[in-house]
Amino acid sequence: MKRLTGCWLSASVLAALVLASAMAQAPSTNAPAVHAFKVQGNVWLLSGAGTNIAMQAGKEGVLLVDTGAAGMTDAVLAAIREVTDGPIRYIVNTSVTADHVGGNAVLTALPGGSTSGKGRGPAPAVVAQDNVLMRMSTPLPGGKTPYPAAAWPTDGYEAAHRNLYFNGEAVDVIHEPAAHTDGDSIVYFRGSNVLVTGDIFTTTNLPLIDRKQGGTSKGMLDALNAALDITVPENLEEGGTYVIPGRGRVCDEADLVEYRDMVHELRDRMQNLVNVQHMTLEQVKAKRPVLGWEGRYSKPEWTTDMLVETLYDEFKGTVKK
Amino acid sequence: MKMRASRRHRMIVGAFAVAACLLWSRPAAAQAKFDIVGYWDQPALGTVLGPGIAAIFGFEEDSTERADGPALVDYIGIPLNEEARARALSYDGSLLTVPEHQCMPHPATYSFWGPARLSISEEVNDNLDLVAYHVDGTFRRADRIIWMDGRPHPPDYAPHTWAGFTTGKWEGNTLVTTTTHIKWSWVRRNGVPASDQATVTTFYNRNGNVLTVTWMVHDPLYLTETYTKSSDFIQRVQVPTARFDAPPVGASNGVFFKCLPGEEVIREDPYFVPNYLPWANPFTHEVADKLHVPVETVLGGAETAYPEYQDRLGKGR
Repeated sequence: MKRLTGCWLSASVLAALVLASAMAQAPSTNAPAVHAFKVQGNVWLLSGAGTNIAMQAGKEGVLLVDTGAAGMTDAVLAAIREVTDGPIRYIVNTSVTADHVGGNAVLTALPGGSTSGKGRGPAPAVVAQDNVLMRMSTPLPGGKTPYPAAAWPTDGYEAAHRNLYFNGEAVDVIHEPAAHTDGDSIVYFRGSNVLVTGDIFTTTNLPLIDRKQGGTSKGMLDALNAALDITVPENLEEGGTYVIPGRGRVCDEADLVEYRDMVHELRDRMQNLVNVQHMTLEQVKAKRPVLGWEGRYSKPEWTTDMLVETLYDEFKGTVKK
Repeated sequence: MKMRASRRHRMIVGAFAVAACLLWSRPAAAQAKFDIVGYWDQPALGTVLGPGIAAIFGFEEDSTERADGPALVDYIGIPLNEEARARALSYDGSLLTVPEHQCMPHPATYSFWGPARLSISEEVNDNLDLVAYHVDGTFRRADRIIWMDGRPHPPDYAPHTWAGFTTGKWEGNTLVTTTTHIKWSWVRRNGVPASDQATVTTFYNRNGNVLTVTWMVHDPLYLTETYTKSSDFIQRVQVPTARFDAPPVGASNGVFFKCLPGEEVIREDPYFVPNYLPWANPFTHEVADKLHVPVETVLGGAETAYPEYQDRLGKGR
């Protein structure tokens, strides 16, 4: 079993590296357009950069939550300029995942954070939970770091949360330990009333639990419930606090509830099969515990089988590698 | 003389016939677009459920849907697939005690089937061109706007709502609308789900003082065929004094209403989500036993919607 899990992890790491490499080499002129969509208040969704980017724009400049996949930054900058010509002052990374930090190095090299490249002054600060910095900067066997120093967070935090005030509103950066990874942050724009979740919540994928980087289903469920403690619908479970997920469309509390319920039910099913019925992995797969969401969320990069294997390991208590 | 009179008579009759033809062949929208505007009740208005309960519902047609809802594990006639069935079998009615679930209105995939008193009005622009119809008054009021001005549907990354985004056009005397961008929802109030990829085609037909609304749910994830339902409404002359829910905030006709979720059940885990393991739903046999049919029948599927299935079931007994 451990060997199977190890094989899968190795294969997935290799696939991720190949994918990241392909993305990095893709000429930006061929990159699909990134669209700017106003969500509420000062906050916009930049959609189409591989993963969702949230942008808060105002008199003081631009704050980005995540930077998209490598190779997408020209399109991202074009989308930002559709809204504002203000400089990028802050970047917050919600996790260490490649398509969340892929644009860091290019954007932090912009003089003065200017999206036209003609500015002067300090580079944007990059805020992230400390585990993101650790995972980006810890040398691999051979001595190279996973990411160049220019991409690393400059303002890591280890406490439960980090707050800042920008463009006339408070911004809460809250650590959600052991969810998608062990370095996840959710970001809440208090004045605009928009919550950005990173890959803790998507409308496109099965729960993205990366055990290799410290993720667990329990942590993900806790994080989703923490997010629900922040969201308040305007009326009849609609509107009010808007939610920008890691991937997919703009949402509100009801969409988050739907996803939370799914993770809760998947946990209950897996606990029953693994810890009560003591099934083998093959037996669990045959029982199809993800039935109900397979067609909607199973994708080649994160399939039903991958999730079941991950959850099986978690509930079986297999030591993560 | 007789011939002349006869010819004149034929000419007059002919002129009337031409005029009648012209009248009937006016652009359909010009004839029909006002037809659905007004106030509409479900049939048998005035039914009283019990002491102290206001006589506001109509209960003859699809009465269970308009009252406390259908039985659990009764999916007969719904063309659901195995994924939808697994989710439906996971449904625990106690889910409605979870605060986040308490105030959900009926979605576009279902709302005309549940309790409703419709108010349909039209929105026009400065040139009095029709811009939209507003269909209000379904349960908890996921009010639907039917855009008639040819605007496109929003992009994929736009939010989904309970009412969805609807565009419409007149086809003859039928208003045909298409609704997209609907939230994850349901096609029946016993847990049969509709995905966020579902779309709804709705037909509004008026015959005298009866408005028939027919809706077809297309869900590539959960339905093997289109799920079609219809509901009749009767024209009402008077303006209602109170409808299901009032406008979101504020007073209307002296009524203030805003759904405020509460702790209906105090649980050790405040984030508990009631659900059944789909392979261990305790109600799987309840309706089947009551109706004396096999469990497979109540678990639904496209075949259970057709008369042939009933015949086959009868022969099997």
